[in-house]
Amino acid sequence: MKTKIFKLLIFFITIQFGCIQYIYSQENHITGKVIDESNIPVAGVTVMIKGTRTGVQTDFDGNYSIKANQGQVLVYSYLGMGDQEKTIGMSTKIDVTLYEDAEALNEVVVTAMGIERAEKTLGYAVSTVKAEDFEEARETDPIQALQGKLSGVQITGGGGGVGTSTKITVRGLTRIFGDNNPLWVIDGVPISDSNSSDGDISGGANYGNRAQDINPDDIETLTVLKGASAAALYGSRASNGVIVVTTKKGKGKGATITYSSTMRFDNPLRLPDFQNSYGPGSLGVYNEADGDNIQNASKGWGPAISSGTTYTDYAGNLQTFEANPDLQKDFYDLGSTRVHSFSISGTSNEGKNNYRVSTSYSSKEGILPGSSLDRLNLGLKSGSEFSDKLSSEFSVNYINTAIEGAVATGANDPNVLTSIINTLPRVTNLDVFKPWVADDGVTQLAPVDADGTNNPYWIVNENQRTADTERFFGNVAFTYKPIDHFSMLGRVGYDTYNTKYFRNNHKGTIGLLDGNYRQSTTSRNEVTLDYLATYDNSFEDFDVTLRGGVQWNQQTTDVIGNIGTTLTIPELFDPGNVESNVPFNNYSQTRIFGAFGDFTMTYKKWLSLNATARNDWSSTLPEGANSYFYPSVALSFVFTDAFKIDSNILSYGKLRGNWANVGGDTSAYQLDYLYYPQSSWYGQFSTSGTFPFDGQLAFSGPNSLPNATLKPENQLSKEIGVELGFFKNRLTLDATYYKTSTTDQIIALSTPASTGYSSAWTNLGEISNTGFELQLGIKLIRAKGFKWDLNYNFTTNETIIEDLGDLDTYTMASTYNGLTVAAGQGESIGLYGNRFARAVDENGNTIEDQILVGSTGLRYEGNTERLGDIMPDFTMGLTSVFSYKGWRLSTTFDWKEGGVLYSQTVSNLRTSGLAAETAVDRETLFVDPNTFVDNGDGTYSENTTPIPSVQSYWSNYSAARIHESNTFDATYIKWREIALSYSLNKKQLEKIPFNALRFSLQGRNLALFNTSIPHIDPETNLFGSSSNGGGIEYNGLPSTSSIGFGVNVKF
Amino acid sequence: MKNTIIKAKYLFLLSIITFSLNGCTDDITDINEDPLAVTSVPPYLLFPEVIVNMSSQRVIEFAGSNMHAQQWAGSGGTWLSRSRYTLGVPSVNNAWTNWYTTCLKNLSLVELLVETDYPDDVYITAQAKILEGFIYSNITQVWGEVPFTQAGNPAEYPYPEFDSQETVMEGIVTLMDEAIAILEQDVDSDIVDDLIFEGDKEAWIRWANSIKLKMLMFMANIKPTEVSDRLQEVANSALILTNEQEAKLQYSSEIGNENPKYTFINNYWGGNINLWYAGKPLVDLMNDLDDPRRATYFDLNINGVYAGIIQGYTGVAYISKINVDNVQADTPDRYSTASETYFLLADAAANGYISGGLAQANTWFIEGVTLSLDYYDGSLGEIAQTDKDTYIASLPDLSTLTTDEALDYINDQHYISLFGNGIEAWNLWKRTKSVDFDIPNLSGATDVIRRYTYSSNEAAANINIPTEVTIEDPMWFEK
Repeated sequence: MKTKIFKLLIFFITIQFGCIQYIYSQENHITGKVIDESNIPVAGVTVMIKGTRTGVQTDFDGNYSIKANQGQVLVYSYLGMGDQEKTIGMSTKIDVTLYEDAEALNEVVVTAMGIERAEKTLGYAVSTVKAEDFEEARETDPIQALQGKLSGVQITGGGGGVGTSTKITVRGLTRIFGDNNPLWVIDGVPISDSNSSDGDISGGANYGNRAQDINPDDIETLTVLKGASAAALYGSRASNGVIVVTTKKGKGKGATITYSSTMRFDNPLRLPDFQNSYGPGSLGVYNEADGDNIQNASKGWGPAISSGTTYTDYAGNLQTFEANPDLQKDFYDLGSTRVHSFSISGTSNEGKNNYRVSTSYSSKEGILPGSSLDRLNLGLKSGSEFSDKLSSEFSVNYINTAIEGAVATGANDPNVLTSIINTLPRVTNLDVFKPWVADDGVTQLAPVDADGTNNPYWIVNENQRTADTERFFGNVAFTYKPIDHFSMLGRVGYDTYNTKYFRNNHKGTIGLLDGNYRQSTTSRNEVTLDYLATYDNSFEDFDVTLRGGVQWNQQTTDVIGNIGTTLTIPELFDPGNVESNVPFNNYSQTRIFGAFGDFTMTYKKWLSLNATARNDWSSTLPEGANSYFYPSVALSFVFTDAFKIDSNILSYGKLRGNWANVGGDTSAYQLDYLYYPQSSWYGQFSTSGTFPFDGQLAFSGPNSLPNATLKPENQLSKEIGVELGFFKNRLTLDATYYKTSTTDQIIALSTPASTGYSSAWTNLGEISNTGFELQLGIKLIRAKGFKWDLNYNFTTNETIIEDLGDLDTYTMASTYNGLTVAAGQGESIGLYGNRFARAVDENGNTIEDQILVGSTGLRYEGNTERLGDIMPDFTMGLTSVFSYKGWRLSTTFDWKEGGVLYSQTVSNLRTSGLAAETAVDRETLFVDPNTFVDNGDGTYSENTTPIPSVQSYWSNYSAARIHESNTFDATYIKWREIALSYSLNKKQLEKIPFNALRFSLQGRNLALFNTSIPHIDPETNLFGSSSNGGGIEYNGLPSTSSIGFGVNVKF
Repeated sequence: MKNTIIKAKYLFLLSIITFSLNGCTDDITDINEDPLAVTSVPPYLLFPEVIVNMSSQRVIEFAGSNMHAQQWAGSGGTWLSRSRYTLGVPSVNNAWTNWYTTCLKNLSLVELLVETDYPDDVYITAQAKILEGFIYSNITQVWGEVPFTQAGNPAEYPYPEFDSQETVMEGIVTLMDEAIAILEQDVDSDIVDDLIFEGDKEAWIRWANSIKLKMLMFMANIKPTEVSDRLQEVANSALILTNEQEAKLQYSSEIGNENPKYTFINNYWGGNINLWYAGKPLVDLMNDLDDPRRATYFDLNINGVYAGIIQGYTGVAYISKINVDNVQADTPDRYSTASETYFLLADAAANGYISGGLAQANTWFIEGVTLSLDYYDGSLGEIAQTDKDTYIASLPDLSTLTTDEALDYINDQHYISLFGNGIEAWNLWKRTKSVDFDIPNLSGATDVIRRYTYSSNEAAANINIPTEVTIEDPMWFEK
């Protein structure tokens, strides 16, 4: 198999490069300039000679030149504007003005399998983001550039670590178990977006999701196929939506060279609001003579800092209390992001060959000292027409990403840093932690607490967490058109990466004094073979397209690694240098074979019917039950054309609707009952040991009960929508309503451990998603060079667990002290945790507003209950673009309303007396308002007992075991990005050797408004992008805000 | 036109056939076989996973049971939490899940594999039954009412019912009877060269009887007349009677095979004892008796005496630490000890459950104390023979005392002998209450902890889980 592909690659590389040599041929030219109705030059207009394949694009100033003969017709087309045709006469100079009008909404959209279709004929909603959105405020992660710009998707960043993952879900969660991430398809070929993390929520590090490997500068368009109907041709992989990326290819005559450079500086967007009035101690007292010491003392409940109390600091020096308000700010570095991108592209041989070579180098220094990301992208894409009948496309991408100093989050690991930094007493001077290591190289100096908490600089400097990824993806496609109206496409796609993870606890790390290291390599590859035949014809008023094809997909993942414990030479991380090695290995391989057909019929360009069908055979399901059929049908009706409505108010109107049925398989090896060799045994507090034990090997049965009768999942979706254009399409509206229902989910259902299994594989349940999406485009001002455009989008989605079988709730992700993310029957996905104890009425029902206090006047822990939805009620985004001559000012705001978030950081800050609010009125012993006392006889009386101390009030109120008080409304508005750019005009460019030059100032994540959560940025996710968990912050690194500048040039 | 369509169809069909000829669907389910696992193993390969994980739970996950037994006290962090009855969700979940899935599930697989692939090797089934009974004895001593009759059978009982502690304990006795019956057959069967007794059939019979004795003594607390015959029978059977016969998992200084408590203190405290102090009831009792084992169990405090602390307090300046000799790499996990057998027998005789009266009780009592003192011979904490002699001489002849006084001596010595065996010591107290326990400071409790709350994972998945259970609810066997 592999050698076949390799030979094919060699073959194509040879023929592609053979063609590129014809680039520099000479012709005579027709020249001219293309402008819009407000006299602004239009760049990127396609100028084609009608009836040929020859064409060019206008440059930055709207200029073009093309070789053509007298009598030939030039066709000028541009997305969103009406086509113009000009017949070539005597003049070799032809200037053209393009207008935006109703007829112009014939954008071509790349849909499933790379099929291009006119947007007008689509019976489903798509959202598209174009190249400029990725260029505006250049991110190293293309997903982050989508924030606030798309309806129907939810994007959540993962905090401030370098390269951390960004979670994207399309139209809500459709599964309570397994993957909810959309399928990523680049130039027709699926690629992996798996989350790259090392370990679990207990101190694991997140190295991002693999879609970050895509070079944003290579993206021509990014289209989200939101509904199942749009994606149905992808069969079993379509149920989470599909993100279709089309990369740039060479255009225009000759070679175009572009270079862009961006530099930005990052600071924490939000640091906690600390008090700076009280030092360490308890109940206002800190006295070392009485046995207090800084290591064990409560962090912020001591005497006033102004009292001048003396103490022995972490390094053992005698000090006087003195506030250090910038303690945390000083710990974090100024982060920076530098991106350099370079590309050469063009066509040759009269446009028959095109090529584009690009490279990009990104380097990011995180706010965490010593953290960095370096990424190199290399890309090559080329296309050739060998004859009228045979053409080919070829692309190859190489990406190398190195991440250093990723941060551990969660708990139960000595390297969870944020909780250490945030809970240092306010009198701490960071200098006491330097140096952090004694001359012997293994003795830690100035630990925060010798019994468990390390010196923060020790963690940052001695304990490494790195991930190095090398990735290659690309494809070869050829199209053969043996006869008119018929074409055949064959395509081979290949995506492979290798990630090497490394992390260590240096000898001397408290919690692992002898040191250890963990090293692993994840290798993944995916091969996709496509064959697609297309028949395309017109019969009078009917346009008919008939497609049929097959797809073969194979995914292989192999993980191999070793944990070495007890190092002999401190910094030699080799299996021979440790006393114990626990090697581990995981492997999985899955295949899907699919056959599909697609029928499209359009009547008079205003009524289109699209029907698709696909049958999949999956390797992961039992023989006999592994074949499943997915149909879809979509209808589009442009009623303004059908009824010949042509008014100045309503310029365009389209109704659309669709129905689809897709589904899904499962992961590999879930059917057979298997025994696994064991290399280690479990021990709490990092005391796990190894097999062989006393020379004996160990095997174990599975923890998940396999099921030989699994059947495929099923997802039914319905969608209706309307697209309207008003005032010559100065105002456009696109609204969609949809409903999906996913049944027979393949779930590793949590079973009672008393059955012998933690979970059992089964088909279960039903989840529905109902939602509404709206996109508005307003061309507010078009006058004398002024342009002001607004784009607004709104998304609401409600996920309901309709059926959970016998269960009341199903735990989807769990953390500490019983805090879980769970699906509850009849409800949305929610956060569940402990609440305050409350009074109950005679029927045993909780009385919501009667919180109970104990005899000391303090609240106490009640039952575990639902704390709220983790999904927002709605999200919306607003982008404004204002341009005048060469100036362009664009900005985006992002609003997320509703949902809840649990914050461990808030709990830490409040219980330790470090949060600003804990310093208010410390001496006042108030009665906790509206609380009640249980009289023990079924009655309750109002509480009149004042709290014993403010310290005990907060320690109790915000304790990590009472989740209710640390859970907040997750609403926020973010000022997501702003970019101000200036492009030099032609006159200015005359003096310099560039065809185009643009300077920009840019900022990202500039401000946070309208949030009720204290101390942290509510946009955070403990679980990373591969988990269905959310709504929980657990010692996350603060997210960052950045400002910078960039320059783009073209030769 | 028509020709074109036909041509197109032909081409399309041809191309699909060509593509399919690669055999894409034929091998599609063949690859769904995990190359890193097997569909069957010889049953003996499952024993190490069961035994080592079972012990890891007893030794480190339940290290806090030493605090519940008030023999140890935590002065900070997790250990102070344990002293104050804050159990933490993981410790409640981990042991429950580990014992039921990792341990009991694999034992039922052992029986299944013997039945299907090795039907002659019935001794292996007996070994599995004894281990199963021992694990259930741990589970019920921690949680009381637990799934037993419907456990480990997801096809028939997806939501196992919780059995009464009486049912579980009777069930354990039945398991022992079945196992002993198998082992007493003279058949040509393989026996697993196990980590506990290295395949010594007689040793397995002795352990089964010792487990049975212990379960019957719990039951005798509530229904003495119903179990006394069986107690008499087991008292006359082969039991663990010497320190060499003890059932235990021997850890070693081999890396990765160390005692997890040792790994813990090594990782966090550089191999020293930091937050583990002596519990007051045990130290007071031993001080009263001038017990020579104090030096083995504890360090002297800064004033050169032994002092314990009430659970939940943190002022440890004058308190003795646990002697690090008890937390070594090769410190074993002791499942059933010889001294325990004698104390149980003495207890049974003194109570009149079995014959012999206080005179026989005294013999067994002295035997138990002697074995406890001798346990440290040849290892760290060895007690000088003169100290042993003096100590034994200081003990009264139980036959000269009242039954209650005699029982008090027996149970106090039993309690002292279980040092480091938290689960056993805690449950001895529940059964006998021979020592006065304190309610921990700042625990919010109104009584001594009797049990753990059920695993929240089990609660989330099992609709039959009992509700309203608190840690202060007494066990069924308590009186």
